[in-house]
Amino acid sequence: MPMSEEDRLLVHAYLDGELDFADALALEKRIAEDQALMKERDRVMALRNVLHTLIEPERPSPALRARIEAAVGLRRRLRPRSLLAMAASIMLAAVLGSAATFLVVGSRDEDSLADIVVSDHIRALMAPQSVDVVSSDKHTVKPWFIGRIP
Amino acid sequence: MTAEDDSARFARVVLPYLGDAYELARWLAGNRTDAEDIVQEACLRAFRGILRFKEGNARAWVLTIVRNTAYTWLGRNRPANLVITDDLEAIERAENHPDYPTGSDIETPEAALIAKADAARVQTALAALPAAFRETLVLRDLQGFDYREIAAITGVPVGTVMSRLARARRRLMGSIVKDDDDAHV
Repeated sequence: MPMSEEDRLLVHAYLDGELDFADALALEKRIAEDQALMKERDRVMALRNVLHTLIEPERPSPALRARIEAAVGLRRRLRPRSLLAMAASIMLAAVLGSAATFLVVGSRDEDSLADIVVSDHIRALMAPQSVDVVSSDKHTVKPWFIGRIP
Repeated sequence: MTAEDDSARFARVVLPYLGDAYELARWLAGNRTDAEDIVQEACLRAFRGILRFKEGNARAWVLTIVRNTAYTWLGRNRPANLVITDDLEAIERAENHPDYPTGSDIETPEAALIAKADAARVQTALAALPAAFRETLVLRDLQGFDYREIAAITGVPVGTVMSRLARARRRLMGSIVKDDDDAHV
């Protein structure tokens, strides 16, 4: 006995808990007496069970949450407490950057003046907190002093 | 009296549903990288519009934005693959024609056969569903939204949701079991 499309949708809705109790009971009675409805019910139950048990939940990488939090200004862990501390952090990052370049590119001869200045700067600027790479603070400090490193 | 700022509101309204957002995006985009791009873009949209969220179903609100962002993103990055919803009706009409080779209504597999499906086959079959069917099925059977919520998220009447859901499930049943027959051909 062919099942109408309306009946098919009812069976699905019934299994999805969308029917009120009166309609659900009425449909259950009909299902018990109708092979086609019963088969539809059984196969949809089987499919839903398969979907629930066999499909692995998809989970985002932890990095995604971190990026989003940073983008909306929720990452405050690395934010420095003052403008001066931020300036010092940027200076330190710039100095370390140029020092690293120097180490790779520079000569191994006796200390040039540049070497001494660089290492002195590094010692002087050891900031208490770790170096900031990305600041979530909307206010950005312009690195006006970077150009002064010899 | 301090008003909740936008970031805090975002954290309260959107972040709890990051997992669900990613899951939907993953099934719409087909891979992790694109899904994460979509979620990130959706979150920015949600953040910019956070004041427009009236207290209520935050989960549905977030997923609506994710869904819309996904389709915009796909339209931008994969224009050739995008199937417009109207075409779906044409596909359905063609498939219901008696001469159509994989006639959907003729033989839907029995429950016992469906129950024997393996994970890989189910995963592939779901990924292969047309987008409108896939999203409806994901929202219902993987994420547990009810019909009214799915209607709101996908922007169609409840009747359309019911029809798409039944068709999606029927297609899936056919795909899960059909592969088995193909292997013996």
